Amino acid sequence: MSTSLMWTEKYRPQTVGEIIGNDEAKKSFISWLKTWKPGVKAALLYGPPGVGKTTLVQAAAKTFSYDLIEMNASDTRTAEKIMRVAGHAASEDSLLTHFSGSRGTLILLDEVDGIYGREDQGGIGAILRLIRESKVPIVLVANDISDVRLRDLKNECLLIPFHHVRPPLLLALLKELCRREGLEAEDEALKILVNRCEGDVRSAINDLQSIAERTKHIKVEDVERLLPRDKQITVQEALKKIFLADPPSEARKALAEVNIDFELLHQAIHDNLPYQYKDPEDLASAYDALSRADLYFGRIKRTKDWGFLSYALEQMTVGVAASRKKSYYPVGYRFPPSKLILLSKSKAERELKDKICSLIAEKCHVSRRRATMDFLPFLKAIFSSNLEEAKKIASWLNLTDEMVDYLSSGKVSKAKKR
Amino acid sequence: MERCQKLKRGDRRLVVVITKKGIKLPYVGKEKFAELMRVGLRYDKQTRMFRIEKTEYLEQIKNVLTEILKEPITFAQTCIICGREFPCTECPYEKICRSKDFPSYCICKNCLGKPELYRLYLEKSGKLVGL
Ligand SMILES: Nc1ncnc2c1ncn2[C@@H]1O[C@H](COP(=O)(O)OP(=O)(O)OP(=O)(O)O)[C@@H](O)[C@H]1O
Ligand SMILES: [Mg+2]
Ligand SMILES: [Zn+2]
Repeated sequence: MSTSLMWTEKYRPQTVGEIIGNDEAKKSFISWLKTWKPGVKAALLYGPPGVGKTTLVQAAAKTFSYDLIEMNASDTRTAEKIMRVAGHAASEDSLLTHFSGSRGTLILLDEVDGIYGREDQGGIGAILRLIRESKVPIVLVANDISDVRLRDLKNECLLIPFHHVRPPLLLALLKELCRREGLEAEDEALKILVNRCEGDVRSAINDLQSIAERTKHIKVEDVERLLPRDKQITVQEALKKIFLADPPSEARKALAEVNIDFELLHQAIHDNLPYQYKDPEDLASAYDALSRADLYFGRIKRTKDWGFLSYALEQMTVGVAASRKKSYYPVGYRFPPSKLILLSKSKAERELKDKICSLIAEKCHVSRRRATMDFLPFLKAIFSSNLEEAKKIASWLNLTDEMVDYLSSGKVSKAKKR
Repeated sequence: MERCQKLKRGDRRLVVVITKKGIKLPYVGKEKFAELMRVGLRYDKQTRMFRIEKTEYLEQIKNVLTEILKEPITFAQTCIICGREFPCTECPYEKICRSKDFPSYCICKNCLGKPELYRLYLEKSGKLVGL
């Protein structure tokens, strides 16, 4: 399907006035943009995917006649590049642009939370310099800004939070799209669709389009027939699902949707608990649940009886959720080493990685968690730079060719062929 | 506390709804007062009400107020169509909402059925946003 045939593009709001939801965010962004002058902070728009963050900046540029320069911070490989592309525009005398009827340049740095996934360290520093020196307004956009590495950046920005778009607004939009596309839809069917999309407008539109490709009369069954959404939930979202599960049994769902090692998830829950549960009693009882889970994990390792797994998982999810007697709002969850562990990797690759980590764990007498967090990146570095050393390690750990390939990203097998 | 509505939430408990105007509190003492300010509430001398200024620490706001009032609290939503304030508990979509209870603009149950809701919303939203 070409992008022009995608409804998310076809119906991408062209003006600010067509964007639904997040009215506070729209309001503060517009007033920031209208009053911006050099010396005023940059704006940082953040929140869940598919709610219109990028669209708002693009539409505002059109509505208020700015020339928009868009950059994706996670694509831009080096700090220099950011400076080269944006730095030029940021220092440019805007007199010329005024003649053309434009109000000047607006810089959009999208996905700034992706920046520290890359090896170059200077990215954030470069953005900081850019926003300090800029003669034109700069907008940063991100999903999650809880990472400590974004702290300095946050201090120098006007923070504008976005939230999931609410059901009544999503429904109104879906009904409008049905009208424009000549579709008839049962109310209940649209309601199920809205529930499924969890406040994500992009998903809602995509789902509606895929149903419309089969039928013009949308019934409940048509929505139910949609494949389960490829969830790709982050560890942060999984933690939220566990900590805020209501009723506690809902916490179990996080397991099916997150893709990390259960022990790693156990660790993440452990690390984040004190930030989430403020009441000492809630906290103590949650830690008890976690240590019971630990006991079961230990038993599994000793006895190789995987029957204990369900008990362990139950304790670390439902057990933790049920410990909560007070109500809390979600906090920014911390999860090293990187913000997102997405489901994007194939199952086979995950299994391979898991196997490597258990070999490391066994040989080096460390936990699987240590193996995954500390040893694996180290081995990857060696395997892609020092083939001699890599061979030695491979035989010491009894790695299969497939594992070696994974660790070296194919370099070893290429070297062999040569 | 005459301005805050109490209502039944399910059959479990009573909830105090904090509206935009704010809430009157019994005397809280210096320390609690400072805490309230820290978490983002402001005191209006004229109306003698505490009102939410920043929504960054909603959870803390909830906790402190619950402590003071000894009752669970919730934040009112503002209907962008008719301006009425209402709690999420009255919304038919409460169960499927992912940002419920966050004090914000939304559409109240009386306005949900209005014809051309989409167009009406965009019109109101545009005005609010300053277009
Ligand atoms: N609030 C909205 N109103 C109308 N359409 C929307 C809205 N939000 C998203 N969409 C639709 O979804 C598409 C994607 O939105 P957009 O790229 O702005 O999301 P985003 O918040 O930037 O998400 P991400 O965090 O994944 O980058 C848009 O092209 C548009 O079709
Ligand atoms: Mg975006
Ligand atoms: Zn209303």
